[in-house]
Amino acid sequence: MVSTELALAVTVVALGAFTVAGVLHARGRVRTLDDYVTARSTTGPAATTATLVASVMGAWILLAPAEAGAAFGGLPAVLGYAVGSAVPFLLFVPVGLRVRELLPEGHSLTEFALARYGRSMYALVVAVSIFYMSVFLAAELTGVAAALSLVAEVPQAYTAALIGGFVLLYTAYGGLVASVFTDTLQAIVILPLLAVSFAGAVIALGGAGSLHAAATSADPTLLDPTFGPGVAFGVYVAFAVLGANMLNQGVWQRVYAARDDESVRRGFAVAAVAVVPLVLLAGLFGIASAALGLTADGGASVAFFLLVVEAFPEWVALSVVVLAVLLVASSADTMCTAIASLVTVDLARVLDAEGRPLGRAGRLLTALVAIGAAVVGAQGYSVLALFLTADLVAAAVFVPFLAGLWSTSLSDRGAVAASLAGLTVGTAYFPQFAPALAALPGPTPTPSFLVAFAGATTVSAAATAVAHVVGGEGADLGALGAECRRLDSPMTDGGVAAEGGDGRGGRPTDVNGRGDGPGEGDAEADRIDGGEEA
Amino acid sequence: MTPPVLATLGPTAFAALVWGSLALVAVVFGYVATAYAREALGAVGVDDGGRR
Repeated sequence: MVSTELALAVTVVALGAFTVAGVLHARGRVRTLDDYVTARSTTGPAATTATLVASVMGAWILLAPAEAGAAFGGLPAVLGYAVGSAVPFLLFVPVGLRVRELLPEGHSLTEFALARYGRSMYALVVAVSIFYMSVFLAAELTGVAAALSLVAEVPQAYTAALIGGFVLLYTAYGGLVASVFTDTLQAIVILPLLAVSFAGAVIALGGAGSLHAAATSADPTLLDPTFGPGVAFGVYVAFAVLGANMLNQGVWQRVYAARDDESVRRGFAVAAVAVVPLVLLAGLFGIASAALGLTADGGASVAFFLLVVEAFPEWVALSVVVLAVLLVASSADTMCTAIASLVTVDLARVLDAEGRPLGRAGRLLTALVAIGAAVVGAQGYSVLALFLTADLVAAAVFVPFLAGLWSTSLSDRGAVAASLAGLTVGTAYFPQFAPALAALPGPTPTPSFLVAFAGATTVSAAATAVAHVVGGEGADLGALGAECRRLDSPMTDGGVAAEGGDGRGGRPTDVNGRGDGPGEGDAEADRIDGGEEA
Repeated sequence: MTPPVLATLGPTAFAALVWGSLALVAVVFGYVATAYAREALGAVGVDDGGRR
């Protein structure tokens, strides 16, 4: 057991170091609200990979895959989780390139929904996206608070407040510029820490051979790749993860943050390769926990941390504490900036506002999201049901939503109808809703997560195809870009918005009065990947 | 009723899965760290002799 004081001290030092790094890096780079919410064209392929891995790989990889391995079907469940986590990144390669082509000055997925479809689909996408990201954020803080409580008896409120507070400091100051930079540093720390933690665990448990022997003697189905319930879990979790990530504004922001199309291609493809072994290893430790009988009393959700407490030397346990804190911080900053950016971009449109009030609103929203998440994270709620519900809705909406990137005949009503068709099927089979449905007159379907998630996606996809074929209104995809404009409100380091031009591409002068219009040298100096003006 | 066990991963395959995954994490880390360092150094002009 790690002492509470040591765990708290390590947490504060780690968070403080990344906060200072984030603030220092953002200085001089956040001139406009556009920089604050998109960090546009600043990350090369490696930085894109790093920020994606850090953002999407939250503390959930220490919780959910291990729980899947321990309680939802062993090896096939873990394999499905690992592969399913990689698929969204691969799908984002064509989607991201298309988004950048159609809306080169865009900021958010909701902006695309409004420009391409109209108010109904826009409202649906806003609701689903914000719901999913809020649950993700709350789940991260809840998970890490529970984990640190288990490993070092840190009060849950302390953990949630510390992480929420430090993340707030650098994201409110530097927005996505600070988030992407700290993500990159965190990935460079997280990857070896994960490898060392996992390798240390394998050695502490007697090697891979001992783990295998324990698993096969405890429950042979744990290592059976054809185990039915595990295969079913692997399939439905893949649908759940896919839909949720395609509606994750944090990932959309990184499409715009990428320096060029090659950065999108390589950055997302390598991120897809990276997440497979990470999720797989985390899941294998769930299997190890189950094999050692540690989850027999219902502790599957913290299976990895039970193993840490039970079998690891203190230095491994301490590195796991740092790892968990960094995993959460890198995801929490992404969700804070993503949720705030959605609302800020939409405020700009609704209020037709410019200037400092809009910038202040963006910063205030970031603060509200971080504080709200810290409060929820300290309560120790079970967020699994909310997570599954958010995933289900996303699984029903993402196909009609993305189809609009290519289809010119899919209408607002067609997309919403396709989403609702998928949602109806998903809801009918969703086990969480079974008690409520049982109260209705008439026969009710047999609850099944597999049918619910796969049904929501495939039915909405089929309905989208029908709506595409029968739709007659020709959307002008080439005109979508005109619906989006850069947000030139001055931010952290900003001065007065540049005059002239069409008002979409001008850069403001900074606090030192440098009038640096867009140009090659300017773009290089703004790079997240370490650029300094010569 | 517990479903029948059709195929259990052997000890060699299991060890390959564990250590292969760890090796892949190390490879990805190597790529990200070196490529990022190259991008950062390139941005400050180190790769062209320090001239901008």
